[in-house]
Amino acid sequence: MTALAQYDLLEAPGRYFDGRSAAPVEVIVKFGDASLILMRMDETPIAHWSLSGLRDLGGGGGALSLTPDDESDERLTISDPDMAAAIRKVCPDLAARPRTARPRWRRALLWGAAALISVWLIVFYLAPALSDRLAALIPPEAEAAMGEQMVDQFAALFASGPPRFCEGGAGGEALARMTARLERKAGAHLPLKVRVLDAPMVNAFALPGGRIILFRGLLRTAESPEAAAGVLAHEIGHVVARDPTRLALRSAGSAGLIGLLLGDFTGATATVALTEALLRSGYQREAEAAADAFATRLLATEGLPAAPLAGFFLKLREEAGGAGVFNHLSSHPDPAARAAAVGAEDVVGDAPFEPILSDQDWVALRNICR
Amino acid sequence: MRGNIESSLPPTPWSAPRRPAAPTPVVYDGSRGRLFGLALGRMALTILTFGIGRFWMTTRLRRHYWASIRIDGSPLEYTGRAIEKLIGFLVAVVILAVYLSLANLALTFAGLAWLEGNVIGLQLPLLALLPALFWARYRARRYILARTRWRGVRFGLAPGAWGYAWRAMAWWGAAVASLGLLYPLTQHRLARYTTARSYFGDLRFAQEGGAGPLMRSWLWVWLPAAGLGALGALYAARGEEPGPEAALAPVVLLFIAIGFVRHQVFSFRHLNSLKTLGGKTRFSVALGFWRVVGIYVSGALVIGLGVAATAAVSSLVAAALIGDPAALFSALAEGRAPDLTGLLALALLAAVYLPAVAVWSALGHAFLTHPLLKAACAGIMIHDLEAAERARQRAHDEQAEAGGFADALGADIGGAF
Repeated sequence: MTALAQYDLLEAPGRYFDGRSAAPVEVIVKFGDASLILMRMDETPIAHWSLSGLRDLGGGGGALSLTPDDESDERLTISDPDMAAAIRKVCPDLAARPRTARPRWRRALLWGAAALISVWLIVFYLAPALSDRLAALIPPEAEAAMGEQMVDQFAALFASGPPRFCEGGAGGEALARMTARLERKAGAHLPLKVRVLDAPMVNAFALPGGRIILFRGLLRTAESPEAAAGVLAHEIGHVVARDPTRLALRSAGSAGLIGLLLGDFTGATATVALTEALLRSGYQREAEAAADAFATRLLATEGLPAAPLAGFFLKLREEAGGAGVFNHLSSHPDPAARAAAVGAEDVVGDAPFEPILSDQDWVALRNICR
Repeated sequence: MRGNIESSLPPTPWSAPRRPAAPTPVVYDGSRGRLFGLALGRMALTILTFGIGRFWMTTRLRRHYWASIRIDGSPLEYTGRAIEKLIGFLVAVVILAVYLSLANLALTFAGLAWLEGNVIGLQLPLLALLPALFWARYRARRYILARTRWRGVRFGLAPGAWGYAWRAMAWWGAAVASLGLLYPLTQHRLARYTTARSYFGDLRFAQEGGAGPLMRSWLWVWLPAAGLGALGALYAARGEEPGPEAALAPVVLLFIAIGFVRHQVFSFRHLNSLKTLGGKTRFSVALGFWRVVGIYVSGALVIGLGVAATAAVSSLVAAALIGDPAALFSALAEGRAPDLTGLLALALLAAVYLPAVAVWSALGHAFLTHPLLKAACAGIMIHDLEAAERARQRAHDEQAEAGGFADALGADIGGAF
């Protein structure tokens, strides 16, 4: 302790706080044998603090605010610059971080596992199971009213200018005939309402309340009435499975949980958005596959071929130009895979079948927006 | 400014230091450079650990800020631990995951089944969060006070989170229902509730004064806003286009914005000047409005420049690492590496975005929180501090949840604090 010997005669004033009240006690501080000695002004000692346990609770510069160890309530402030410098020199551990008790790590791991498991259970089991049951409890009238509202908002989203639905005429009758034939055996929980939106995109949607929207672009792209019927059957599959309300409930049930798990630090925002998009598209892809399966079954019961629908998917793929860029994020599965799955279930093959629409009706339907 | 009276005396043990004459200033002597280094390092760790490191970041930053504030020679101490925050957060996740999921499902179902899925119906799930948010905020404040000491004596906040939650719901409900007119009352009543439950040792804080001055300050914001809103509604009802006087609208909006900041600064001053500790110790707070505006403007400039520079540098680095981008993109376009496209785009985004986020956060501490804290402390005077020395130690308040609910809900009390 040569360093200590050098400070043998050093004495300085300090202020001592006993940890029981905030009242200061003026003291004299000097070095002892590997310790700091605190004395009252009349030289009666108050405390011997081991130098190795000393910690500085101040900001590191200027005056010292010492505590004898991490757990103590006692404090000593020293603003005498010589004494402060001496203590800094002989106690290298002044700024050491408070130590953490060991068993706490075990608790953290345990609760971490519990948090992951509970979020996983909720996202993949609880929320889907509950929302499937709740969706069936929504009164059909409420669903229909909601669907009607959404049709307008939805159409406005896709149409440039005021949205227009193509209705009536020979095209309207052809659409009604196609819908009626598919609806017979579909077993939907409410009557279907199929409409054609005057928009060029190749797209179709099922909304709550049995509302189905086919886009003009889709009818123009389909090469046969059976291809269009296949798409319609797919959308009917969504209606029968109550997908529009079921999926809304599912994402509500798991909304915010990923954000909860990752916390709200700034960099997490993107991660959270990405994970939630993945989750939603996961739910969605599951629903799409189910709707495809439903469509092939419905086509088979009506004695219609599924091959035209498969052909339609392949054509979509060609027009999109190769595999989708953000394939994992897109809500619909890869068209080639869908085409293969749907084509495999074709029960008609090259055999003759009763077309869903006459050539005349098909032309009328394709031109419904003219 | 870190020396107090003792250090100006000759350093002989025999000269008993004099008590500082009242009032006592609050000294903030934190170093901006150290703070920036701390914040940048901890934020980088936080990003690399997918957010888990934030508990260590908050703890370290709080220790820095607390230790930089000295009152009569003694610094504030922050004794919170990162691991207790992590555990509290995990506990909160387990409970909140179940609560949020069920509440969101139930409210969404109600919205779909009875409100026909209209806009208000779909916002219902947010309501499930509100009481939990207020509750969590109070608990977070209780944790922070329970881990704050001065001269070794603990601060504390008495239990009362549910009482706070329902009062907050009621007062915020009143503020919303009155189109914002009653906001000062909300501010005042909630501050009074929290202050009356705050302690230093066994001495209790109290909030004196009424909401009157707050209301007068608020009217400078509310009246122009209400006037503007009423005029807009009038034109909308008549279906007319606004006349030439509409050109004044941006001026009025600027006036409202300035008024709002002014009101926030005024409330800070007003509410804190009327707090008392143990019935004797008082505070006077002088924080200038233009000072605050200056800090925000210059801080925003520095942060904007810093983040832009970081993004530029990391873009250059990313570009250099990729080599010839044209070759890469043509390989992708030819479908030679189709599965990589999405991942690569994400990696590029992360390489540019994440350093910018870290710098953003660190600059925020160094150029907003630091100067604001400095200005606020410089304006605070404590009268009759000696009376506070009567304070007796209070028992340790375990608060095992350690602000975890507030952290999970994103309702933390202002970033570092």
